[in-house]
Amino acid sequence: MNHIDDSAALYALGSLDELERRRVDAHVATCPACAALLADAERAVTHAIEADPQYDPSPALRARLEASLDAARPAARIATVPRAWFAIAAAFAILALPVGFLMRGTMAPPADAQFADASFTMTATQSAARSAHVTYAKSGDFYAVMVRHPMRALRVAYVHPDGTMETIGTVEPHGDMGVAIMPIDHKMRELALVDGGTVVAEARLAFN
Amino acid sequence: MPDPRADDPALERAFAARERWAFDEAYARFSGLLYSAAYNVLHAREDAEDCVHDALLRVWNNPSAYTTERGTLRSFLAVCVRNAAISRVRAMQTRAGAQRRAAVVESEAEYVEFPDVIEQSRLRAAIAALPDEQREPLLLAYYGHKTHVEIADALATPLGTIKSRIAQAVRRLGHAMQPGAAV
Repeated sequence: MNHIDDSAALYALGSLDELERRRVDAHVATCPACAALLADAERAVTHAIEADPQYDPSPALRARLEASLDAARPAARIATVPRAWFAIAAAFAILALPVGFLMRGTMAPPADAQFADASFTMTATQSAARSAHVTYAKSGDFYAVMVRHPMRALRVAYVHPDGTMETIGTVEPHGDMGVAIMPIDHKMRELALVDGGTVVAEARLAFN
Repeated sequence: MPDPRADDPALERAFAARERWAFDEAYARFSGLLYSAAYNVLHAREDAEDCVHDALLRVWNNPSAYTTERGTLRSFLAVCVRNAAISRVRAMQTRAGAQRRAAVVESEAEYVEFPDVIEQSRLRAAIAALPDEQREPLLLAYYGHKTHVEIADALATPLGTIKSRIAQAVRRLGHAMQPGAAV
C-alpha cells in the first residue's frame, strides 16, 4: 500500500470501511511517518469525542473484561501448579530463608538442579519489599519467587531481551513474606518485581 | 488519579508491552471516554458495553495493534472503540428492524456528565471557522457516520476532492484544538 495521506483523517473519523481500515493498520505498522500522521488525526478527532456528552459504563463492564482477560491468560501459570507442590514449595521457601534472603548475587545451585538460584537486586529507593529471592525445586518442575516483607502485592515479570516485560505471576503478601510458585515452562534470563508500574527489583538468572 | 487527558509515556510503553497493570490503569483512566465514544454512536447501553469490551480485547490480544509510534494511547483507544461502534451501526443498518431498535434504545440514555464546555465551545468555534466545503463533509463523516464514498455521493463531489477536504478539515481542527491555539 502507498502512504496513507488523506486516509489518515478518514480513518480517525470512522469514514473508512473495514477493509480500508485494515489496509491502513497494516501500512502504519511498518511506516513510522504514516503512523505519526494517523496519530495526529486521531488526536484531532479525540477532541470531538471529548466534546460529546460523556457517560460512565456500568461496573459490570470492568468485571466482564477482567473475566475475559483471566480466561485468555496463557497457561495460567500459577494455577497450573498442583496443590501438593504448593505445600512442598512453601516448606522449601521457609528452609531457604535464612541463607537466601540475606544474599546478593547468584547462589550455588543444588547438585542435581538444572537452574541456579538467584537473589533480586532491589532497584527502587523506596522499596516495596526488603529483599527477594528465586529458588528452584530440585525436580526442576517449578520455582518459587519469595519476597521478604512485601508492602503490597507485587507482580513478577519476565523481562524479554528487548526490554519488554511479561507478567507471569503475582506475589501476594502473607505476613512477613510473600511467595509465588511458578512452573518452569520457559527459559528466563531476567525477572523483575514490579510495584504498580515501577520495577523495584531485578534478578539475572543462570541455568545450565 | 492522574489527569486522564495527560500523556503518559510510561503507561503507553507498558500497554504496548502488554503488561496487565497497564490495561487496568488505561481502563481506569479512559473507560468513561471509551464508553461515551461507543454510546454516542450506538445509543444503547448494552451495545456500547459490548463494543468497548470487544474492542479492548481485540487490541489487547493483538500485540502489534498498539505501539508507541501509533500516538497517544488515549486517542488510539478512543478512535478504535468509536470505529468499532460505527462498524456495528453499519452492520445494524443492513438488518431489518434497525430503525425500530434505534427508537427503542433511545430511552436508555443516562446522562452522567456534561462535556467540558470550554473544550466544547472551542471545538464548535473551530468547526465554525472551517470553510463550508470542508465543514460539510467533516460533519457528515463525524456525526453522520458516513463513509467517504457516501459523502462524495451525497455532495455530488469527486471522491478525491472529498478525501482532501476532510483531511484538511481534520488538520485544521487539530491545530485549532492545540493548547493555547487561537481559534
